[in-house]
Amino acid sequence: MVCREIDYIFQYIDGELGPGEKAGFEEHLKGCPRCRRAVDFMESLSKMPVMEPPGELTAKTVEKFKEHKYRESGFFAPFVAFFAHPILVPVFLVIAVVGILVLNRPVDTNLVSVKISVPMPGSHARVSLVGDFNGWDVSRGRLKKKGENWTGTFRVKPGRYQYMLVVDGEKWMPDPTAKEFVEDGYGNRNSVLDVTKI
Amino acid sequence: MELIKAVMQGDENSFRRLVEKYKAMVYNLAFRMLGNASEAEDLAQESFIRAYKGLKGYDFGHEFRSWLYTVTLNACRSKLRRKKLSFFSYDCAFSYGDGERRTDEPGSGKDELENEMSARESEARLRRLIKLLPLKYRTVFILRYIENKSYEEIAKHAHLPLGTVKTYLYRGQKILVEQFKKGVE
Repeated sequence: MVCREIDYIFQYIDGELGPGEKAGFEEHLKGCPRCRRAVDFMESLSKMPVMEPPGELTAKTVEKFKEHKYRESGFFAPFVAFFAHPILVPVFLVIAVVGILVLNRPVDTNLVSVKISVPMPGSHARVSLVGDFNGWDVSRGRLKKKGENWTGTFRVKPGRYQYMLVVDGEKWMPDPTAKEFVEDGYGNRNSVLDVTKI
Repeated sequence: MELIKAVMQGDENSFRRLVEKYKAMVYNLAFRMLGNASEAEDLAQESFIRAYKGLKGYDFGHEFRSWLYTVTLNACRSKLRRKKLSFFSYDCAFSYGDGERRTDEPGSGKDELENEMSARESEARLRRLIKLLPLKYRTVFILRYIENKSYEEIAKHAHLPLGTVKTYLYRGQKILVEQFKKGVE
């Protein structure tokens, strides 16, 4: 048979019982092991000791921080990027477009990660990068706004790609920071990205 | 805060100092949410990296500690939702020397033993709690009864309306009372 007082455990613990009720509850506790255990349970949780974090935590966290920064920074054009993958043979990436940061994180050995950052001040709802590597599909090429720049990362097989930027779903323009352009046959210019693996 | 500004610029030493300053808070919250030391350690590292990523362009001033707490809490919840089951590890309950050092380490042998036992009891009960309560209720429960946060603080860190906090607490309490009736240790 369970006592009635057990339903008031939390009111007791939260200090919501009046002085008379509280005294009555504490009297009950003396004789009720079940309630006593319940109160002990909660008290033990609230008095949980503060633990010392493991000794290597700081060092490991700083290592992760360094890794993260390294991956973020990439390489800046117009320098030739020289990147040695720890598992695969060293890969040479030629960066043809100023403003595109190239990171080599191949998920499979053929794909190259290309990070783009396009300065575009002013307020725009969305900017996409579309090209023949993503089927000129506006929904697949959405960039993210970071400050005055719009950035994104794409995985492509090495090769030459034509692309453009689409602003707010209606304005199509070539990437002003591209080094190469071609006529697209509609009177516009496409930008060209050349990612070649030697 | 000068330290935060330096960290935002990617200064490694400042980042190290930041970790040293807040690691106890972050690690303990992670441990209390996850119930396991090695998961807590991983989560703590991840929380600091998330914090670094989220720092860009923001000025926190004195709010940083509170924001870091929220980042850690969110990282814990993400991890727990991905796992979709309550997590505890038996070895932590029984080994003292696996990297978990208590900050209260008195000299006398008897006190030490008592402290060690009560710490283990707390941890065992924490694991019980993690098993008993669904994540939603568990989060606010831990913040209230272990982290000793006020309702408003819980609402802020967990991104919940105040009413929801109280409702979740109430429901968590109901579940526990049922367990108490069955005589939970």
